Amino acid sequence: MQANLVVTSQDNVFFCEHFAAIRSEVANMMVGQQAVIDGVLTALCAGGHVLLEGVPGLGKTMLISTISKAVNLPFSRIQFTPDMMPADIQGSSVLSETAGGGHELTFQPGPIMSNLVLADEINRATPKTQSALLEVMQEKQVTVGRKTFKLDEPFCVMATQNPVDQEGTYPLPEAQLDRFLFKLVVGYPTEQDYHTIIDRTTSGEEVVVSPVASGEILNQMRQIVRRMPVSEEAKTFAIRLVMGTQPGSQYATDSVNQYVALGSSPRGIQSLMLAGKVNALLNQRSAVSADDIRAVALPVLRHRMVLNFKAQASAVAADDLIITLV
Amino acid sequence: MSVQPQPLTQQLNRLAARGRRRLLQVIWFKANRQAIANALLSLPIMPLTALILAEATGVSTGSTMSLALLMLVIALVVYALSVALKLLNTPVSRSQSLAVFDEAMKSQQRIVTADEFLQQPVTSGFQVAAINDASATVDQALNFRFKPLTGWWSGVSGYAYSVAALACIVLISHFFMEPAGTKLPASVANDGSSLTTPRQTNEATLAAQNQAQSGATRDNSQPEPTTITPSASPRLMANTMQVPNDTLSAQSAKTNATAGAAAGNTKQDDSPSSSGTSGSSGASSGSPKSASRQNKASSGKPEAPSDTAQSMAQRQSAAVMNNGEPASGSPAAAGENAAQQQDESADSEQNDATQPSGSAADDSPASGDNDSAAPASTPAKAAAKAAKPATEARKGQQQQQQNQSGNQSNRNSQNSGNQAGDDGKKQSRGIGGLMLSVPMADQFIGTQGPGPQQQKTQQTTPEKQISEQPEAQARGHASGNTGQHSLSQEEAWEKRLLQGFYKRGDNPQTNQNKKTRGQD
Repeated sequence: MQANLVVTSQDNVFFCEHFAAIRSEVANMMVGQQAVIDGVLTALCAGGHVLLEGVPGLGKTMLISTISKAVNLPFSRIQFTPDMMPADIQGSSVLSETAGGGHELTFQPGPIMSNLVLADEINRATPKTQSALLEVMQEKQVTVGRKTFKLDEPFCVMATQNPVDQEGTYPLPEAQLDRFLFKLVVGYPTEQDYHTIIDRTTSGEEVVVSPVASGEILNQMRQIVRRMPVSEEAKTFAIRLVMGTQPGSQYATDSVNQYVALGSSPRGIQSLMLAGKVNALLNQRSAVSADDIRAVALPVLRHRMVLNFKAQASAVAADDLIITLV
Repeated sequence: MSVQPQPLTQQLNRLAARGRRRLLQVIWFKANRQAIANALLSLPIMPLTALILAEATGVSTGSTMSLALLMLVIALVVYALSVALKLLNTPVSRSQSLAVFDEAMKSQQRIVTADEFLQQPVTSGFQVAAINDASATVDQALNFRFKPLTGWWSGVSGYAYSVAALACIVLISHFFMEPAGTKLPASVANDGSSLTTPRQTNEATLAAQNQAQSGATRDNSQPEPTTITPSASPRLMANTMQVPNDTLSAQSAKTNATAGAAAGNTKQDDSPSSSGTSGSSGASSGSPKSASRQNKASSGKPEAPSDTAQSMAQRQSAAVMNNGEPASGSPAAAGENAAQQQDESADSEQNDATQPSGSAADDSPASGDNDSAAPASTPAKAAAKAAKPATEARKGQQQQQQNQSGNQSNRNSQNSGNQAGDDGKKQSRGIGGLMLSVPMADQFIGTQGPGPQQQKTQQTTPEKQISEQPEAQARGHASGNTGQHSLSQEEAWEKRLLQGFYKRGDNPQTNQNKKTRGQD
């Protein structure tokens, strides 16, 4: 019992210390956007994927690249275009010449074969290409031909999409959206942040991001998160919250019944639990409470609710409905 | 750091007990509000039921006090049932009892989590850490004091109060309707013309009678116990005159006999009936007047049989009032007095009569016979003139009472109400006394009541009314440019919405996406 206590207290300290270190290192490069940084790191520690939505020029790509530098993990960037094929993502077999003058097919891994993957403007890819990401994101493996390639942990896909300029885009299907742990909305920086951006990016000052973590540390952090216990009260609250997003259920509000076409799936409850555990660890607690669930409800559920035309015509957003539920 | 489950468990048990008490208090607090609202909403049940029963079946539903008591009893029962049901249907669990402290102290469910982990086998260090983490919070919770609950009466909806006010109004109306029953008198529905026409003749006769009575030495301010009103029923008048029954019957016969004779004859010796009765001399001093009235009445418009009986009864009552008065002088002087009084009554009737039938009675041959009588004496005339205002006032009251009643049955009720009982208590005048009645012909609808009625029908032609030309026609045609209109500014989400709406229908890829969505 005493040993467990020691381990436990060390786990708490370990987690919090490394989390804070990564955060501070990323903040050296990123100006502002503290909530987005915490959300991406939370998803990274919980073992999930992140969808970032924001207008161009807000530093979404720079954020992910900075994180990859801070955790010292391989990072790959995929710029999606309408003419992209699945092989461009997964990799393909190419004919290569052997030493004896012969030829053989060798598999060339695609950019998805990395720890941290930035899928830039994912909504520009065709559904065929988007579906190639489904297996990778869920199973964390790539099947090409008859071969299956397991991806190294930690593996995290950070996708971005542009909310405006929807010309020639393909909205992500609900099945693919459901595989993202968080959907974070990147907004404009504050006035003070603009001053800092100018000082850092337009002057001769060069910011260097040092690695403060590694893949191993991230894996340990993920295991600590998995070991966090959850009280029955928190479980009940999370279950009722997810059921409340489903129209027609006993916990759904009138607005949900009116504006929601499709509610959250059971992946939503899994995401709530994992993200709630990370939030509890960050608050120096040893168990998940309903407050932790409330803190992560918005990024977890906002992309899992499909609104109907009435909601679109009435300018009702998913965030408004989730706020009424929590 | 060591784990002390025993003391912590006991502390949690104490907290659970305190939390349960607090929760029950809060539940009772909220149940009380709802129960008060339910009790207020249940108040109108009894008075409304009583009103409906009274209206539908006419069954008396008891006094207002009993209704009020029943209302209170029902309200109390509803209150008690509401509170009991709320308490029974709201069970309080141990975790809820502990969660009260977590919510009040903002401890992020530390107490509840620790209690849950203590009740199951501890398997991980995190559970132990959570239990130890909660010990400090439990110590704080033991010393924590909840805020007292106040304002249990507040929060009741205004709708409940308005319903309770409605119940009180219905109860008060039941109180006022109680003596005369809950049914509205049918006199309200009767034709207005029938209200005044049959009684006009009676009013004229009565006015003359009253004037003659007031011309005597009687004090007009004193209420005449047997004052006959036009609305008095013949039956009632007959009842009041039953005491000196023999005298009444004799005098009524003599009154009829001397009606025509006393006007022209100064000698009563020629009247066999008058000489036959000594007591009738005094009565005859007043009886010629009543006789003259009788002549006027008889020579006036033809009365219905009930009116004749009514006038007969009135004259009998007048004779009762005159009974006992000493005879004034010789028969000749009595005759002169009678003639003088007849003139006075004729004058008063001409001045006071407002109905055509009254004036018609004055124009009758009987009045002409009365005019041929000898001039009346001065004192009697002065007394008669002095009695005019009182007579007019009484006449006005009688007329108003006629208009208010409407029909014979209502007159009966009014007579029963207006008449002071033997015990001297004031009785209610019925629902008619509460109504502001204005005599309007052809305005009353409904079924006719029993009693004499006279209907007048008058055909009227509709009047043409010229409508004014509407202003729209005077405006003329509008022509010309309406001017420029600013384009509506579309917001970004509107543009996206419209684009998405139209593109989804046209793009084949979008259609394919729709198909792939089902594949998961």
